[in-house]
Amino acid sequence: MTAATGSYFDAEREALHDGYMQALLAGGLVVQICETCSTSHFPPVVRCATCGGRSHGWIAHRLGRVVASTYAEGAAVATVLVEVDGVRLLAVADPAMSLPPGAVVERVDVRPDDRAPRVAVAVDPAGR
Amino acid sequence: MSRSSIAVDEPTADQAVIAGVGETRFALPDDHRSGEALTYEAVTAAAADAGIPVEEIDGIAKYSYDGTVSDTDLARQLGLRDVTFSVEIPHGGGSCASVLQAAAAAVRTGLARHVVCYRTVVAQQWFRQMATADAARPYYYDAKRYLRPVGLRTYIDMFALLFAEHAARYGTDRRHLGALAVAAREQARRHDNAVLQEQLTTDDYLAAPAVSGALSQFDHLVQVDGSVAVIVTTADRAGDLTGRAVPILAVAESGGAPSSGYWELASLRSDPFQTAAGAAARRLYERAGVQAADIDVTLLYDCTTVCELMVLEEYGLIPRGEPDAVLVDGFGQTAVPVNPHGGNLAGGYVHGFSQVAEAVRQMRGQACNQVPDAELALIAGPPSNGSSGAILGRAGR
Repeated sequence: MTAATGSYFDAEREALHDGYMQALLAGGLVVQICETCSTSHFPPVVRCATCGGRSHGWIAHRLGRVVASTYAEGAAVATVLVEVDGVRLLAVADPAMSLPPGAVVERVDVRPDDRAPRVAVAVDPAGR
Repeated sequence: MSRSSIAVDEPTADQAVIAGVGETRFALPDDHRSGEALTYEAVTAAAADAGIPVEEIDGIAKYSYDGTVSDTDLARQLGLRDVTFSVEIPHGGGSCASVLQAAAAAVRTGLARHVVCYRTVVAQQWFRQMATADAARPYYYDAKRYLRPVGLRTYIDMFALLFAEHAARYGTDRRHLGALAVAAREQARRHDNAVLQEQLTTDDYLAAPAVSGALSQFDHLVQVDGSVAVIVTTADRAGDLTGRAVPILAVAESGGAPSSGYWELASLRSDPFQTAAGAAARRLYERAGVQAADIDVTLLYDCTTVCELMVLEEYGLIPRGEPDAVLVDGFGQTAVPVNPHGGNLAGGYVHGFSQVAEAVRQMRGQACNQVPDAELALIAGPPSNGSSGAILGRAGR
């Protein structure tokens, strides 16, 4: 979880990213939350545009809804756009999984080597 | 086939105009011409077309992150004597009309007399720079940490995800994208500097295997090596020159919240289809005093078919959420003419600046795929974090 050799990254952004990774390991659809005004942010921000706050924590949601998903030929995972609590975040999933728009994300795994939440169970309310 | 019924005023003396245009041959990579050589060719051609000695250029307005030639070399090797105005615009492809805005402001306020705006793309260099830009571009941070790990590798994957949402919301499907791809190729077949001249049929399009999401090879731009330059000055100065001046009737730019952030983060906005392009479009139409229906020919940013669809919606050229509008006979060609030069999809990708050159040719009535009697040309930038648009009028003489 350190910056790539030879690259410049702002230390504060990198610390935020480390926080995100730690929160992910605890499980769930993690988004940053402003400790002053409770606005959620993804990707993480240094400054909350709603209140100007610079103090942030993490919240791990258990339920989300699939906005859309795609699969690129040859890729190991599908890309899933998920909406939780009014914020959009990105996750991965097994390409064989059924992930129609509107499906409810019911379980999320994060394995030690993962760098993003992994959708484990999603249920299509329409039963398609 | 002019659809405009508005009366355009005679240009005032300080009206900003495009007095000259230069465009190199576009070639499939690798053409073994350097970015420097291409840039010098386009800039000197634009100056010659305007009728000024190239050393009379005293302003430079260009895209940021240009990796082809430094301003220092441009000045030294073209012999520019005294450059009084230099800016770079950071909106990626959304800079296409912003550079005209900066140049127009400079010539109208007397900061410079003849401003060159240009873009050069050496495809292999540019796409390598795009893929490995972490160290040079701090704003790339979010892409590296939050997009690449979920499989969003390039602009193609990003537009595939945007399309998946568009499809879920509006019922858009591959027929709609195919209509745009086929129209672009038909336009390219009638334009001499377009690199893809072979016909593309709807059947060819629909049979192509998916590359990312619903998108195939026919949904994205064609890489070329090439350079495009224009010279911006004022109408009174242009009156003494040999180049046929094309008035910049209006230009507009938009950036910032809610569209801010690295452009690849588009899908993370609460509504990814409300973008800086739409904000720029509203400002542009208001400044020009025209509506979408008044436009005779549209030069829009089409790095993918999905991008084109979004720009068409944002500029009000089709109703939002009614993609069947692109299925009407002749859409993109005779009905709502789009990119008569083939655009990025079939003509060649010069980061949206070949659209500016084609707008000038159309307004001079000199395009090889000329829209008859066109009086207003729209330049429309992409749905990126910052974007811009311009409306050009017919050349005065």
